[in-house]
Amino acid sequence: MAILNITYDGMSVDYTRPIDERLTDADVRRIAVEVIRSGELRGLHVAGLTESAFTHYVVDRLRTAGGGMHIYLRPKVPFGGR
Amino acid sequence: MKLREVCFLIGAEDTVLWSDASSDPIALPDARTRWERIWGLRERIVEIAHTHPLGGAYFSAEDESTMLALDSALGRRLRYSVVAPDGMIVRIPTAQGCSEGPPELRPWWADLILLASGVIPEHVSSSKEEG
Repeated sequence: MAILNITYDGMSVDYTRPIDERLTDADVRRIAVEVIRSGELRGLHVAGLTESAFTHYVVDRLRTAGGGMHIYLRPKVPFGGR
Repeated sequence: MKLREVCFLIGAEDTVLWSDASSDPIALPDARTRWERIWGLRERIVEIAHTHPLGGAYFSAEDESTMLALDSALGRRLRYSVVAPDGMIVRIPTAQGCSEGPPELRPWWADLILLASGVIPEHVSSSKEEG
């Protein structure tokens, strides 16, 4: 299981319920939309959040020192003239 | 110097707060480190600038989607700019949306970010030839 952290609207919040660490990136984005819509994420409640809110976000999966996993949903930050 | 894209995080009074670079002249790939610095400096960042050493002064499709993602994550709209050999463009948030165009006053760091990208600004190379 893993802890999901979502950064949105100036806040970075851990979801209190552990999630399956094998979830796909698309699943993580979908769950993020659902928990923000439902108000399950402390301090972040946007009832009308669009399905595409996290389209341009990436998922980082980092192992913790204790062997657990932290999954971070954060904005992508590449730039480029390509 | 080899051409490469460079990113500056700019604070109040045109202070360069942080920078990083790629090894590619047409891309600055995603990096968690860059995001961590942006998040850590979020209260102080006024503008995010990057270069197009081989391109023009415009926002690419990649730039547009990154700016959208950053503004939604930070909960506020930042000022963004692209510095290229042929000029500079800046996007400034306004109450109506945003304004976009060359800066009224070219910031001091524009030449620095070009030099860091391996580009010698035109007026610098002219001065060198004159000297």
